[in-house]
Amino acid sequence: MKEPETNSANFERLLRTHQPFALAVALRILRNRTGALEVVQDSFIRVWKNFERYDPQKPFTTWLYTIVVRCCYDRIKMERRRTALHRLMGGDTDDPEPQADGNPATEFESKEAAERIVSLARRLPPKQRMVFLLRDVEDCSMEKVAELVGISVNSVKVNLFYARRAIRIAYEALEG
Amino acid sequence: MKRDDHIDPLLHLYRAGELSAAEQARVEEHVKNCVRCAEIQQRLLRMDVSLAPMRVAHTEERADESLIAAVMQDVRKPSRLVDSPAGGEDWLGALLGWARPSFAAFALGLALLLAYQQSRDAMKLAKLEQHLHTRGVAELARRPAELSSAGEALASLPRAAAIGSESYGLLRSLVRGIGGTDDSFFKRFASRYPNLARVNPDDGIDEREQLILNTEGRAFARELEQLFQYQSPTGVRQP
Repeated sequence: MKEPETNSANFERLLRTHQPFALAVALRILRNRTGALEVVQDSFIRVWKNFERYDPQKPFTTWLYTIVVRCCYDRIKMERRRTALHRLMGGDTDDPEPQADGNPATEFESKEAAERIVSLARRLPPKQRMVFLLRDVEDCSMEKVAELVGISVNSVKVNLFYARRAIRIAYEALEG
Repeated sequence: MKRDDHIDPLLHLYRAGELSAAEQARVEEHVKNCVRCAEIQQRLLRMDVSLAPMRVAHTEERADESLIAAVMQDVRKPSRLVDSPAGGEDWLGALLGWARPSFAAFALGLALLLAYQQSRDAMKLAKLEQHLHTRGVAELARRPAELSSAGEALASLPRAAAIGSESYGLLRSLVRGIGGTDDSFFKRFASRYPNLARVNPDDGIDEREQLILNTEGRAFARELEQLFQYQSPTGVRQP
């Protein structure tokens, strides 16, 4: 067994190497830098505390990706509860409403359109949102989404259908 | 063409691997004859295209030094799971963490109990002194209950084998109380313990006086115990 200080030093090297990757994943899912940084911090602390569970036969990034995604999912659920509570108390949410501005036909080809879609996804229930982001933004396979969210592939399909339909309808409403 | 409710879910599952070949064929056949579903399909496909740049975005994030510092600060904290070389064997620390408030509560309770006992004994002693001063030993002997109380008060003093200046001060005041106003009892005491009678704990105890306390003082304390027929802290024999 290595001394704790040696382990810490090795872990810091691991952290420096893989933190950009973890941050990129968290940013794609959360679209919020502050939240993404917090999720990455939580993720690496989980990595440190559960390192004995890591299978060295598999790429470290695969294991890290799973942890980051699950931390993102936890955060989404937490934010959802907080928003619901805030609404219950009669306050306004800090979730900005997407606005239509310009020609939708060209918007779809722009980055702003993508941002709007992801912004609309924030209104979805956590599971639908997570399934949508993993599948349509993270480009995960159906099986991978099922594994990450902890549901069956059929359940992924059902959640994906509801998510895409809700976003499509919301986007059409924005267009008027 | 009439809208098929069953086609709606299939329409929204358009990316590779989401539908079986048969389902895919069914969707394609349907949209050929349904304008609305064809529009939906086109909208969904455009949405998918617009999301494509996002799938490669943020791939070159820089390392965030404040985040690294925060993680490492947490990692270097002593923890049951982190810095224990044998993997979570810091059971003593956990036990102490649990026991600390219990120990504090126990110590506080003990201090309160001792304070209560001291104040109770001091009150009993004061009562005894008052009785001795006003009634004398003969009167007390006729009142077993009060003598019992006096015996208990005496029991609260350190035993004769451990007599000290403070204990002697109390005994001396008892003697003066027993003697009453004519001081006869104290004179008899002084004739029997001449050195001890001259020891006054109020002006301090030097080595010579400490020696007197250890000899005459102990003898006097034993005699006083016998006077009250002291037997145990919980009981006094009847005279």
